[in-house]
Order: sequence, then structure tokens, then C-alpha cells
Amino acid sequence: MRNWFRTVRNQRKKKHNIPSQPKDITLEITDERIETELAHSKQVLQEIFRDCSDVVFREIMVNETTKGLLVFIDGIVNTDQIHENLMRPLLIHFSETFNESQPADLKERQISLAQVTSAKQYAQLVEGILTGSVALLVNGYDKALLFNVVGGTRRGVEEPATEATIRGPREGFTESLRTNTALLRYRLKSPRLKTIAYKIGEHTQTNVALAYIDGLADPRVIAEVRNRLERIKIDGILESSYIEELIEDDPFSIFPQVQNTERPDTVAAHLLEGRFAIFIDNTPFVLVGPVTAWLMLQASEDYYQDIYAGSFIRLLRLFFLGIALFMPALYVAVTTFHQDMIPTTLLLSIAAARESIPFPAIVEALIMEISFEALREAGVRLPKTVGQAVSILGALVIGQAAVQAGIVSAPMVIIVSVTGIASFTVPRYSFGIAIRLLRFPLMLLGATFGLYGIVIGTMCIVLHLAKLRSFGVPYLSGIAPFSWKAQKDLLIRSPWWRMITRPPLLYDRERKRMSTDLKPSPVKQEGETE
Amino acid sequence: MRRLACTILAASLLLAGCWDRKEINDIALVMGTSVDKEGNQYKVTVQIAMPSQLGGAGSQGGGGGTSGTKAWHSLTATAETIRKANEIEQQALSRILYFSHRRTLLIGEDLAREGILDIMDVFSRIPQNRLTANVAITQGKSVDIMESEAPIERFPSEAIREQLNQYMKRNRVLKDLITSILQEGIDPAIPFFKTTSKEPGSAEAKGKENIRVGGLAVFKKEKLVGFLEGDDAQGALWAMDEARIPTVSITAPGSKKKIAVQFHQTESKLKPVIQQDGTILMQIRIKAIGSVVDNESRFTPVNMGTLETLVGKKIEGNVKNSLSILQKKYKADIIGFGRNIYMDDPTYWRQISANWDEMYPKVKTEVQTDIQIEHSGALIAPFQREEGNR
Repeated sequence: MRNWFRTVRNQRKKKHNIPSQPKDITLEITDERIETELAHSKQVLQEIFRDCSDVVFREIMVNETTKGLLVFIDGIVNTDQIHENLMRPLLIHFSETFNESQPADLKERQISLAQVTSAKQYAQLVEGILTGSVALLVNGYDKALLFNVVGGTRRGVEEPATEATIRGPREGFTESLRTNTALLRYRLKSPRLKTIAYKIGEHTQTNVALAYIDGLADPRVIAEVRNRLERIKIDGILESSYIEELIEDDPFSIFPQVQNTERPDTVAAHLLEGRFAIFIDNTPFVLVGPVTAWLMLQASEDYYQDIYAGSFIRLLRLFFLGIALFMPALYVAVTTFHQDMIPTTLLLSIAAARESIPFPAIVEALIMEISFEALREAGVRLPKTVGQAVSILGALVIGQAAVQAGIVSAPMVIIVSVTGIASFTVPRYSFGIAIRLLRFPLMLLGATFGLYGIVIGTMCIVLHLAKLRSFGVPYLSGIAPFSWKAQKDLLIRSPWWRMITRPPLLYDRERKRMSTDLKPSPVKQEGETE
Repeated sequence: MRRLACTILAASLLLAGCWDRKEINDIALVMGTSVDKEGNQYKVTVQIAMPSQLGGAGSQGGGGGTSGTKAWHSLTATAETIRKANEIEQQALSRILYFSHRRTLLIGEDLAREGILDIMDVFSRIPQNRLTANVAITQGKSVDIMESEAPIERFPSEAIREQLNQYMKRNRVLKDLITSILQEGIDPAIPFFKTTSKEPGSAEAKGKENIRVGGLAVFKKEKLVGFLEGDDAQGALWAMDEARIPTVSITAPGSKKKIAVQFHQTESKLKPVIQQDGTILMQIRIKAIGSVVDNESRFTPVNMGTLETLVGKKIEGNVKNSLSILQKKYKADIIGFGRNIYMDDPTYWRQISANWDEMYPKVKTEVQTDIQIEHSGALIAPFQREEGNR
């Protein structure tokens, strides 16, 4: 028996030891230089783009004798620009002035396009074509010119769907990285706003940009992010969550350690506080870090409303966060273990409502909570027209019919509804999901151990949160470790003229963010005493 | 090692659960208990709420709970101890008796006269029992009060509780009762209930009896010695600083008709004065603020001075009367003269505490009243003013 185990173990080890077949997922283009012979180059390119129906090869005569070749991918380039600024000058004017000895001249004089680069190798050339440039090869030259004419149809700048505000800018990020960085640049017109470009994904070649404000962001954090970004080797990045999962501090934590947002103003505000942002092409969601748990309870609108409303809403969110997490668990625990804790008249009402219910409280709670989650999922995933029908059906079936049929008690419906509303008050969706999920283990703990179980569960959550870090910043920082300075903008929002320093624990090279005398007050007359 | 630690931790966490789990549907909420003495045994009645009759949504009785059936059920058992009686009751019940929400406890006159300290043990020993339950004595058997009709409230016990809440400033709960039994220099006094004759007006309730607070049950230590009713009870309440919105009616000056004054703010302070000859004089200062609520006479209450004096005299008389009953007849110090002497001069109290029982009836009392009548309601002059002579 023992031998058998050993052999199995050895076999497993062997399996692991076998080096996996080097699966080269890079495009197999050598560093071969471009030939002077156009026909040959064309052949090479056609071989590379074999069966790519969207690649266009357009042969032109640059003058009487010299052949040229334009290569681009249809759809991702701006065809108007090609016609106006490339084809027309090439076909009409170029042939007259073409200087055979000076092909680079073309860059400077003939073509009225802003971004032109030259490529010497096929690899560069192919990359340029794939990212939306038009390649021009001319017979007799060992260089190709790449004209950046990225275009094609993309969604315009719209109001963000996930983070609507009543007051505040209505612009949201789009799927285009350039548009997104531009939206940020509109807001931060400073050369100290750095955007470091990366290309991640062997096949997707996704453009990723790491943005931060030089001097505000902690250089150690930036170095760490750069490290984490550079070590990503993956076939494709389709959404920011790929990156998020690959750079998180604690990959198994249920809590998000990177925030995502669709709002340029939010990103700008975070950068000003010394955080960094990661823009990813093809997704409107921009990652922001390092984050704390309190940041998850803040919305950009807190700063746009007046301080009382902003502070009240923040406290409200915190309160409802507690309700979203604990309410069903507490209800189950109190009604099955600690009936003595309920006021007598309330207990009588609950008892009257529960009288004909066939299930124990926990089963009832699970039925309701799970069907509520299903209802929400159905509402999100279905087309809008059908989604309405689902919510009506859900409201009728879950809300009314279940109670009238005596399957679920009315107090439980109230608890679940309040919990549902409460879970929507968390402004960060990813954090809200964590809360929604944690509700279930807490409910089970409450149902088996009563308040004792809830306390144990809460302790586990708090311990985990206290241990969690986001890019080295403690997740609960502000409260644990405690900082008086952070209280100005944590659970309440102080007026702007009070938030003189940036939040601590990020970087403090430039602590002050404004002058200290900004509190509005009447102008003092000459000679007037205080 | 780590695995072992995890296993132990998990086991200690997981094996602890569920043993005391009980659904609301499986408990019988005891709303009130009454205890009587029958020979050597206790006759214990528990009043249990019936949630199915409370008219919750989805329940059979649904819709307001005014279906005419009672929302409560009571069980009676007789046994040597109260817990034993409870056990007998439990055997006749499909749900577990749950005492945490008991808010009224009625003790029968017979039992109270024999002493209540013995049964106080069970009410404070078991954690489920609330020490904040209201306690009251009943004239006669407590079962009769407990099972009376309570047309307004859902349970008779609830009606009893609400009536008790209204009777005194600080309603007497189990904890207060036990404290006042055990404390030196004060005797317990708790409200008592009695049945009144037929409820007027209601055809349905004909032949049934209604209950009301009759006054104060006066104890000497743990034993009931008697009852104070009507003005006697009110006088005692005035002195105890427990009078809650009392109404005092007097004969109006210069008339044979009555005038009533209600006090919304009352206060009384006791000050013991040890006189030269060794006797104790207890000065009782009563301060009250009130208003005229009823005037049948032709007296115009413009200058309140006369009225205030008259009302003060009336209260003084009431209090004196109550005190003399307490001192001479019952010899029970429910107002806490002894307690006040102790607070005022602990060393003196230690000298006299041994023979306080003999001293108590001899304590002289002096009542001073400071009555303030703020206004005469919405009217100044009575309606009949024109007819009469000024």
C-alpha cells in the first residue's frame, strides 16, 4: 500500500517535471529586415496575413517606374484620412517630386499626416498594421513607412451607466484608450501627469497605460505596479478585470483591492490624492489603486454635493452596509435563538406572521435571499424589455403571493427587501458583491450558532480586512491604523477648505494641496478689530 | 500540528451550535402568571399568547384579530413548587413554555398574607424570567383577575400591565418588590387589583366582571397586612412621591358644589427631624403644580390663592389620614421613614434600627403643602355665573 502511494506520488512528480512543450504563442515573425525588393516583401506580408480577409493590399505607382504598396486593415483605419491625406498626395503630387535617394523625405514633406514612423523589420511593420497604421512600402527601399490613421467606429463619450450622478460631469470613459486618456488630460493639464504605455497580451496586444502624477504618487507604489504589470504574460486582455486579478495583493480575497470606475473625474481626483490609474484599451473601466475599504463607500458626488448631504449620505451608506451584511443573519439568529431580545409586541407580530409558515426561519431566509439574487441576476442579464416583466413577476410572486400562500412570512419579505435596498447603496459594485456574498455564510452561522456565530463570522471578516493590503496600503487605513488626519474625508466629508493635506498613508512628499486660508469670510475693513 | 489545531478549532466552533435553537412557532409565549395558595400547594396559572389568533397575514384567523375568539389561552396546575406546576402545564402543551416575555405577575391575597419571599426565589433564579415584570396583588384569587375580560387589549395581562403603568409614577416591577422586601427601613407597597361589578353599557360583557386597580397593597416585610383604597391610597402615594396625575376634588369656597384640580407635576420630600425629647418628627413637603379641570360651583377661580390653600389642606388631610392608618393600623413603613432617617443620619439609624418597629408608630408627622394652580383650563368663569349672586 505504502509503495503504491509512493509510486503514485513519484508519477505525479514526474508529470510535473516534464517541461511543458514550449508553446510559442508569439507571432512567428522573425526579426528579418525588410527587403528592398517589393515583390518579396509583399510575398512575406501576404504569408503573414494569410487568410486575413480584412487586410487590404493596394499597389500603386509612386512614379513612372517605381512601384509602391499600401497595406492596412480595413475597418480599424480612417478611410477618409487615407483617401485625403495619403492616396491623393501619393498619386497626384508625389510622382512629380519623388526623390529616389531620399525616401524619408516623404515623411517630412509630402504626406499631411501627424504620426509617421518608419519600420525596418517585419515585426515592427506587422505590429503597426495591426494597430491601425497604413504601411507604405516602396520598391528599392529597405524601410517601410507607417502612417497612423487609427479610426473606425467606436462608441462615443456617453454618460457612464454604472456611476450616474445628479450633479457632476456626465462624461464617461469609452472603449478607446486614447479617448480615455484624453478625457483625463482635459482634467489634468499638467506635464506631471504621466501615462506609461504597455502592450499586454500576446494575441490581443492590448494597450495599457499606467497613469499617475509624478511627485504625488508614491514612487515605491509606482515601481511595484510597473513590476506587476511587466510580469504579466498572457494571451489576451479583454477587460480590466484580467489585469485586476493579476495584480491584486491577495488574489483569494473576496474584497476588491483595486477600484474600477467609469468616471474621468473620479480618476482625476484619485490621481490628485496620489493614487495611480490603469487604463486598458477596449474597456471603459479604469482601475484605480491603492484603495481602502472606506473608498468603497465614497462616490464622486459626495464631493459635489454640500458637506452635510455628502457626510449624511456617507454615514447612511455605512449604516446600510451593516444592514446588507447582517440584517438577515441577525433576524434568523434572533428569532431562532434569542427570542427574549425582541420587544414583546414585535415578537407577537412576528409570531403571528410566522404561525402558518412551514419552514424554519433559515430556510425561509435562504429561499427569499436566493430568489432575490436570482431576480436581480435575471434583471441584469435579460434584454431591457424582458427585464421589466421579470421584475413585475418577481415582485408579485416573491412579494405578495408567497406571503399570501403562507410560504414566506411578511417580516422576512421586509427583511429581504431592506437588505436588497441596502446592498444597492454601496457605490462600488465590486464591493457590493462581496457584501452580498458574505451575507450567506453569516446567515448560516447565525442559524446554527445564533449571535455567537455572527460574532465569530464578523471577527473573521474584520481580521481579514485588517490583514488585507492594497499595494502595501492597509485596507482599513484611516481607522486601522488610525489617523486623525484621515478622518476629514473618511466617514464624513469636510469642506474643501479644511482638506488642506492629502490623505495620509499614500505619499507625503507634497502634503499640502491648497493654501490654508481658503475658508470664506467677510473681507476685513481697515482698522477693524476681530 | 497545524491541521490538528485547525480541527480542534473547527470542532469547538461547529459542535457548539443548534442545541438551544427553537423556532418562534415552537415556543409558547407566557404573557402573565398568577400564583395562588391552595392548602400547601401553589396554584399557578400561565397565560399564553396564541399567535394564530393575533391576525397575522397568512394565518387562519387573519384580518384584524377581532374575530371574537380569544388571543390567549391559560393553563392551570397545582403543585408543591411553581416550577413543578409549570412542568405539569408543559405536559399539556405542544409548545415550550417561554417566560422571557412575561410582563405581569399576579399574586393572590392568601399567598401574599403568608409571605411572598419564598416564591420570589423562582422568579429571580431562572434567567429566562424577567425582573422587569410588573407585580400586583389581587383581592381574592388571582386567577379570577388573570382570566378576566380585557376588551381593549389583546391579553388580560397586557391590560393589567397598562393599568399598573398608569397607577404610579414608577411602576413596581419584580426587582423593586424584592429590593423593598430586603431593604431596611422600608416596607413594600404594590398596587392591588380587584374586580368591579358589571361593565356598563356593553351587552356582550353582561355578567362578566371588569378589573381595576383598587389601591395599594401594604406589606409588612414580606407579608401582606392590608389594603389602602381610594383617598387613603392616594394620600400614601402623595407621601411616597408616586402620585401620577392625581385629581383632588374639594368643596368650592362659598358653595356646596365641588371643584376638581388635576396635578401634572408632583413632588414630595421627606425630612426627619430628631427632636429634643428623642421623638422623631417627619416633615413631608409636598409640591404640586396643577390646573382646574372641573368646576361645578359658581366660584370664579381668578385668584388662585384661596383655592390653592383649600386644595393643600385637602391633600394634607389625605396624607395625614393615610399615615395614621399606616402607622397605627398596619404598622407598615411603606413610605420609607426608616430609609429616610438612615439617609439623613446613618449613625443615628444604626442606634435605633433594632427597635424601629416600636418607634415607627410613634413618629410624628408634619405635612407642608406648596400647591400651585397654574390656570383654570379653557374657561375662567363657570357657565352659571350670571344667574347667581356675585
